[in-house]
Amino acid sequence: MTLARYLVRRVWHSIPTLIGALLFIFILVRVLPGDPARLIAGPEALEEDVQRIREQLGLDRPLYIQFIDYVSTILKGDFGRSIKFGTPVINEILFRLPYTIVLALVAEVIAVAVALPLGILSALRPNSKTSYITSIISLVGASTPVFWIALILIYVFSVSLRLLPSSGAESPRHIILPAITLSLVLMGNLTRITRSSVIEVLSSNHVLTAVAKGLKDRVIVIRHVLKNALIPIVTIMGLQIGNLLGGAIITETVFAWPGIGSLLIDAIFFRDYTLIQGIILFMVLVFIIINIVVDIIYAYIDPRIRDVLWRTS
Amino acid sequence: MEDELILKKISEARKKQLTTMWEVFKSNKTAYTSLYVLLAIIMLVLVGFFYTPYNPYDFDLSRARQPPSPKHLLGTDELGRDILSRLMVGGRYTIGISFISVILGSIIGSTLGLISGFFGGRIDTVVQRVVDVALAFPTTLLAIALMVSLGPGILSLIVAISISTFPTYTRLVRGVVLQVVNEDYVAAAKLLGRSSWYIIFKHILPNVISPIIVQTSYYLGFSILLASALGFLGLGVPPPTPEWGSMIGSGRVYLFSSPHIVMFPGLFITITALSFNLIGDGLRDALDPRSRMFLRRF
Repeated sequence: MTLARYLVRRVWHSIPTLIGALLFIFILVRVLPGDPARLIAGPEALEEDVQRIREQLGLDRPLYIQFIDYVSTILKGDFGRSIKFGTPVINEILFRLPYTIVLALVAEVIAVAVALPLGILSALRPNSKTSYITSIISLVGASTPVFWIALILIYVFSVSLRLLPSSGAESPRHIILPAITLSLVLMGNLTRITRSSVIEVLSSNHVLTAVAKGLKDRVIVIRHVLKNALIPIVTIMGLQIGNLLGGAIITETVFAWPGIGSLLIDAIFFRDYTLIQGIILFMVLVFIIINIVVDIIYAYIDPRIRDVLWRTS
Repeated sequence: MEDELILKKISEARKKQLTTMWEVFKSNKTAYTSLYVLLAIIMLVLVGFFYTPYNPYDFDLSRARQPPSPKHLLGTDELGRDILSRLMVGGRYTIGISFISVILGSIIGSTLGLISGFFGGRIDTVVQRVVDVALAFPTTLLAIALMVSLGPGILSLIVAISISTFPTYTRLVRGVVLQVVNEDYVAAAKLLGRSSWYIIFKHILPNVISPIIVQTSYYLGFSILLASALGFLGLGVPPPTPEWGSMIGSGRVYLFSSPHIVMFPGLFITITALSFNLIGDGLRDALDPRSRMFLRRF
């Protein structure tokens, strides 16, 4: 019961943010880049035709009415029609979405599979070789451009070694390079946070008690350290969803991976404003929803937060 | 008389504090070395204003895509332009744009954070709503959306990157302000009838300046990556301007035959961003050791 109430409250609180985001996208697309009707009609169209399109789209009405219109069509799940393809925007997005989801999941799995053991090991043995490698990975993630890593991987594995395909999504092998690229975006921070939170838990009293009780090292690490260190790790994974989406836009473009990120860049080059607007809004929606989910998971694994939040909600 | 003595002692203590910070920073070998690496790159870019080995815009297809040689130290690009010369000139765009935008973002963001945290109430609510909306966009997506809307160009890049960076500063500064605003010395200043702005500048700002400096160093590294990513995607400074990211973007077609065209600009971006991040680590340990967990690299 309390969980449901917390959920309702959390969703309720994100509504103003959502309206703000809608307004922001509306301003970006409708107000700034000139005349959309002229864009649709083309540069050679007659003024009457442009005027007709303007009326069809409702662009001749006051801005606030246009905004209310925009919000109400969005609420109906209608993202408009793509200027380039003529198909509903939501269809284009849903068609490409599975590719992005698969890419993001595989990248996240690789990142966690590398970052957790590395972070824990380097926390347990500071100044060792593992700890040294950890710092390097953490720095590479924060300092190397994603698109450059992607090109280096393509050069090494596709051009020189001829081991893996460099673009497209025809076979499961096609996902390897883009997923590794995207995982490197996440791995650095994840490793660093894992290490620092494990170090912090290691110095706490309950671990000292466990050591004093003579428990085995492995039991201490798994039962007492990891469980508590998981809280900041899950938090950072939530914070990183933004990096994941941003990284996916660039990674998908380099590897011609047919997800919504490369669809966005394509739409930008076709000047397909309804499609651009739809994808941006969709990504923001996904981002807000995932953040809510992360907050709930967060509250669930940390009993202190769970008690406080759920009691007051 | 006594007042003067106290003031003198305070200024002496401040000087001593600064020297200690510098000593701590210098003792961090990686951060100290990074400072010199960064200075070397900045020198190279500054020299680019007066001298480059070749004209960075002069193309000559007969010498296109040459690998590094004594004549062209870093080789030539797809149009036969000297890559070293282009990197020297391009740096002013990549580094310059990042620098101006992060400074702008930090000033706007910190001011909003100060006002929001200090005055609270309705102002706080409004500012926090704006920040919520900005943070509802993944940073790269926000920057891309702004570039699409504003059109390519230097000014658009500066606007896009500063809008993408300010919310973090607002959150950061507001957090610190909320911690100190109820301290006794702030209450004392209020009782003495000091104006709000006097209290903000004299008593609150000194507390937030360290985290701002550290965050700025990290953000400089981050915005170099962001600016060059936008350039790579063709949304940044339009060609033929040799912005580092767009150099990679236009050279990637020739990755198979002439990888050096994308390798060198990437190396420059990485070394610059890496230096900012390592300097940031050093500054954090020197200025604000408590915040190890709090401030984050990107």
